[in-house]
Amino acid sequence: MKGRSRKIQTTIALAFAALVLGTAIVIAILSYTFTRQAVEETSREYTDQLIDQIQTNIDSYIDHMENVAEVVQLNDQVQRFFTDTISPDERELYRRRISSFLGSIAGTRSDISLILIVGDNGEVLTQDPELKLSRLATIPEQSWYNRAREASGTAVVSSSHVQNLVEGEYRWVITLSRTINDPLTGIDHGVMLVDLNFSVISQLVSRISLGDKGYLFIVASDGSIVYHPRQELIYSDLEREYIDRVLEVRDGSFMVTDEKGERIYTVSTSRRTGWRTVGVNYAAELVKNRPTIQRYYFYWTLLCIVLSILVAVLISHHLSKPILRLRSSMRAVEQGNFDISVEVRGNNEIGELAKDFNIMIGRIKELVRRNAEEQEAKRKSELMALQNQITPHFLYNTLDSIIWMAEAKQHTQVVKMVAALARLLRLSISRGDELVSVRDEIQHIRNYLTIQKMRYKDMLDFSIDVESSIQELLVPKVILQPLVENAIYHGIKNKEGGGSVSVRGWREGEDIVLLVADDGIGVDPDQMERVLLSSEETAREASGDWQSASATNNPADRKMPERYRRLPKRRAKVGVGNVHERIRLYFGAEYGLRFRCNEESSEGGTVVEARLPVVTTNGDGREHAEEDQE
Amino acid sequence: MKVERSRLILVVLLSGLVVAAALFVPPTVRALLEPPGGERVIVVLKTVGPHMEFWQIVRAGIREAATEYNVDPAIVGPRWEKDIDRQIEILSNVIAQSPDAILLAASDFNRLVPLAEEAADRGITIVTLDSALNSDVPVSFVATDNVAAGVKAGREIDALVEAGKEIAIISHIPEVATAIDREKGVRNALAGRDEELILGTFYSQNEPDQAYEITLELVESRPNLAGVVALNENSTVGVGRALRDLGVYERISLVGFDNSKEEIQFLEEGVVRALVVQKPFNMGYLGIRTVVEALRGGKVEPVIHTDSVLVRKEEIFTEENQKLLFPLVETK
Repeated sequence: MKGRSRKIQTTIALAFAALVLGTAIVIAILSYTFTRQAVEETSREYTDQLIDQIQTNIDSYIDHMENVAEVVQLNDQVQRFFTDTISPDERELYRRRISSFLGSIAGTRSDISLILIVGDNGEVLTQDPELKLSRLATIPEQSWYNRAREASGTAVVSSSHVQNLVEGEYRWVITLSRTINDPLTGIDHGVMLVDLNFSVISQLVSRISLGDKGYLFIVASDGSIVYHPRQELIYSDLEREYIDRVLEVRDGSFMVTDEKGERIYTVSTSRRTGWRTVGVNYAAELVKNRPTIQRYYFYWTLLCIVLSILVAVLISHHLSKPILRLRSSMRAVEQGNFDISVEVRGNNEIGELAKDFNIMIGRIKELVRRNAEEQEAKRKSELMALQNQITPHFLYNTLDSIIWMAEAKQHTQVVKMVAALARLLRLSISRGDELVSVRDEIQHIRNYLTIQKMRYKDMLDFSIDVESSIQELLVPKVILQPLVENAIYHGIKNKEGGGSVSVRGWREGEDIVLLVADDGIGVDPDQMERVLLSSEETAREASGDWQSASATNNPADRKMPERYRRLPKRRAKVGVGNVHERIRLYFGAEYGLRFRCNEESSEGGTVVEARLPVVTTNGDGREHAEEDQE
Repeated sequence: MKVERSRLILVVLLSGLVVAAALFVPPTVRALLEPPGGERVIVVLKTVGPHMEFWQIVRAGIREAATEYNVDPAIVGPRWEKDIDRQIEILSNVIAQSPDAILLAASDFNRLVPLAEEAADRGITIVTLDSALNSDVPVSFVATDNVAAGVKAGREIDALVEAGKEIAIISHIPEVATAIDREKGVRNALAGRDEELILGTFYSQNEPDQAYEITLELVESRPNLAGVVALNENSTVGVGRALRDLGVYERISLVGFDNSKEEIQFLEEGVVRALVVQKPFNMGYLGIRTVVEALRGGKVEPVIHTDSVLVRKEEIFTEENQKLLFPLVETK
């Protein structure tokens, strides 16, 4: 029982805990994912913007270079110097003027490291006449020159490279080159070059940080690296870069996962140069304080789970407690205690259950009480039936005697006996009440003794002495007759010369004592006490025994008078038992019969004493006297 | 009822324990939640002066690896590469700070050994960079494979100089690991030649002027000389100057080491036929990577070699070589 009830609490607690645990974890994971995605989205947007910004900046440098080239191309003097044939005197003047013009353009921006024009006429001009060009560099072999020639009039932009045109200088630059052409004819007359200091771009890019580990790089559309912080590592195969994949994307992003972890490549392609600016973010760094967020969610989830488990235990305890109380009440009922009421507050199902339980217990209690009452009533009615059955055998004997006397023509005797019998019957039959007055009871026994006296003649003497103060008190009816009968049959009948029976009655405090004494051969009082005891036991058993006892008075027995005559002796004993039981039934176990030896008589004999409480009104509250007058 | 109450108390206590345990998560769990890093690493270089491009590139590689592996190394060293006493002083100061690891580019093969051993006794992990130490204390040595570099130079000169002509080897300092290894490589590559025709080894004492003098003397005294291998930057510059001044570089081929501006100009001019170039960025990068791997329990190779590249005149401006020859030194 205990184990099962514990299971209810545990089951509820576990169910709650599992539910809350699951929900908490799901919610935690969902909100963590959501937070992470939101932060990731933000930092992706940030990266996008950053890369676009850089792209725009680089393009603006390129635009600037192109503007410079455009300005130079459209310059009158440049046009004249390279397209027209001018005199050698003018040449020197033009050289100086163009150089100073180029110098003024280059001077405006420090990021322009070199402006150079190579004319088809063999002239090479730069922004600084003092600048010594390397005698080793063969201009027509260089790629910027050839590409500009091919593009004819359109600007071309090189990747980052080392410029070796100036003697003793190896500068990293980005070269924009285009042909100098006649705007009218479109004929090329030379090639112009504008170098942008690459450090402008490399510093711009290297200063940007994408998290702690993230970086930016730039690749040209042919896959050559314009800028990469780990270029040397890549060339030495110490590091791999996903340039092929970058080239497949114009604008957008892709994920890469390798031994270095998950990375997001964000690509933006310049419309101006075709260069791809790529931002590489480590996914782990996207959410900048990912461990902090993780821990935050972890601890709060843990706290919630612990709290909810506590609450689950408390709730389950709270829920199972009234059930436990109900159960213990039920066990008490099981053991026969009906004076119980379960106190369960609350209007929930368990409260209603408890209410129903209480009602049910009340019903059961009522039923049990009624059942007991019915049993009692049944036994009383059976006792009644018994006491009413006292008469038949006596009647038979008496009528027998009357027949004898009538045959002997003793008329007076017959009259006397019939009169006595008539009174006796009137007293015992006609009355439905259980209780009669002592006076009536004495009257009854007097009639009985009168009849017996006429039968036994000299063998029987009797005396009746009852205090007048108890005459009107009530006693169960026909309690003296079985006692007297017992005294006659057991004490006097078999005694040589007969004996006497004395009936006395008095009040003893709140009790009435009725006493029947004989001086016959006597019965063993112990044996009689046993009879009383057995009658008590029988009374406790089912009433069937009473029926079997009365079965001996079956009318069929009348066919066998001899045996019938022998009966009273045994019957008397049964009758005494009945009387004892009836008194106890009415008044409780402290009342009843007591047997003892007759110490007053010299010849021995037996005394039986009936102790009864003083009763003045019968159970119906009606005076017996009224009934008497019926 | 009494039993239930005690069980309730037990549950409360257990929950409390779980919360407490969660609040004081053991470091092992924290280590899983947080990325590794933060080890104290100090790098001691031969020089941190601004004039030595090679070491600046090494430092760029160190910084790149430091970012990747989440360490923040302090980089220290004497102003001048020759200042061995100063490096010893710096190293002892560094050891006093008890870092987790030291990445050391030793200026001297022997003199730094006692300090390195003291550091190892204190539980400091030591990795040597560029130049080895005469000790088995360092867990790893990260450097250019100088024997292989020597072989590259030797093969080139072997191809340039016709059989029967003399080849001179001009080294910098005897007993210096780089000099020994490179010479070994060169001689291995020239193993097919008559030993008599290989001149040297001559030592420039890492002075261009000495190399210059040696070259003048050799050109004068050995008319059969057709090739010179100079084993480091200063030797190459000295030899190059001499050949240029004498105007004999058409006749006498020079293969040198390293990539100073002057050397590259010589290469462009044809004074130097080829230069063997190291990869200092990779050296610095691998130095830190090795230190981190050693600290984080990984197995490290006792010797980690970075490669070298032989660059001829026509290869100067290729995409890969120009990055090596003209490193972009970022000023961060």
